[in-house]
Amino acid sequence: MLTTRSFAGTNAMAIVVELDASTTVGANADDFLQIWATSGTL
Amino acid sequence: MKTNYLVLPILALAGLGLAGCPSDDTGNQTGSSTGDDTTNGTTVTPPTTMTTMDPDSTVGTVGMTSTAGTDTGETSTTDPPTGPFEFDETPFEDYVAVDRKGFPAINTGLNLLGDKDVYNAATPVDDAALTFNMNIRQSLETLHLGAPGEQTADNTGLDDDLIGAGFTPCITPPLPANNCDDQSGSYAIPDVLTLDLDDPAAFPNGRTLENPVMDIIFAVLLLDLEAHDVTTFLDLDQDGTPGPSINPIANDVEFPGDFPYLAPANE
Repeated sequence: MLTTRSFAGTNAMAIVVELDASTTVGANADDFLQIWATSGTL
Repeated sequence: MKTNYLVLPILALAGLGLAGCPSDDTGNQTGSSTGDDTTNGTTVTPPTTMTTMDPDSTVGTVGMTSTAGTDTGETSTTDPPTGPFEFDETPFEDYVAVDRKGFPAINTGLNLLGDKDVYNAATPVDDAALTFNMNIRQSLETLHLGAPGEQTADNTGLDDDLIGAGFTPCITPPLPANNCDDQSGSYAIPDVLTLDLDDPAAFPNGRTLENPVMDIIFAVLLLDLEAHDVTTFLDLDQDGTPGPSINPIANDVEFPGDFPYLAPANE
């Protein structure tokens, strides 16, 4: 089974996440998103 | 179906923040991109791995671009793992944040003198509390006039160069009537990428791979946008057609148009 640690040692240049934006907005009537990403270590 | 994709230039994705926000938080949405550019200066490797995390979820599809080499710079034709993946379920709060990304180049360009690790470990909530406001003001001063307290004949910032090239710079803090912080502050505080689904998706309303974001950001940071269009640096003759420009107006490799959207690597 592959895990997140399977990425260790690879030269990951980008991770692409594709999602349905309108679903992500959900019940927010403003149709407005603020987006950021973080990476971290244990 | 409207679909949004995010490109995350990070090694390990520990958290991804998505939040619907009230319309009064929209901030300054100055201008938009009309050009085609650029991952200039960025090495993008071929899309080699993709997996569907959960077909019933709203998360969608996750892909990763990588080479099978190591930090030595080695590259390999070995295919990377293809999943399915078993993701670590360690609680988010147990992680120590080491990087973050929202609006392009904030830590790079508006945290010139501050501790970049501290900035990376912070959150948009810290931004909204104006934790880094002084960093932003000092960075603008450094860009325009030179580092605070160190401005000499050899350390004058970019204003004299911009004026010499025929541009009108914005007025940086701490000068009276400054407007540089008004132009750029709303993008940096908080440091998030905004996306209004009711408007066309083009930087700074979201960010497409083709958008020449750095040329636009340079204009916001450096120019008086009462005197210049935000597209000035990617349309120097201002004829409405991109180019001539400071940076290339198109990526050197065509984007594929389907998932994961990134161009193949420069070998």
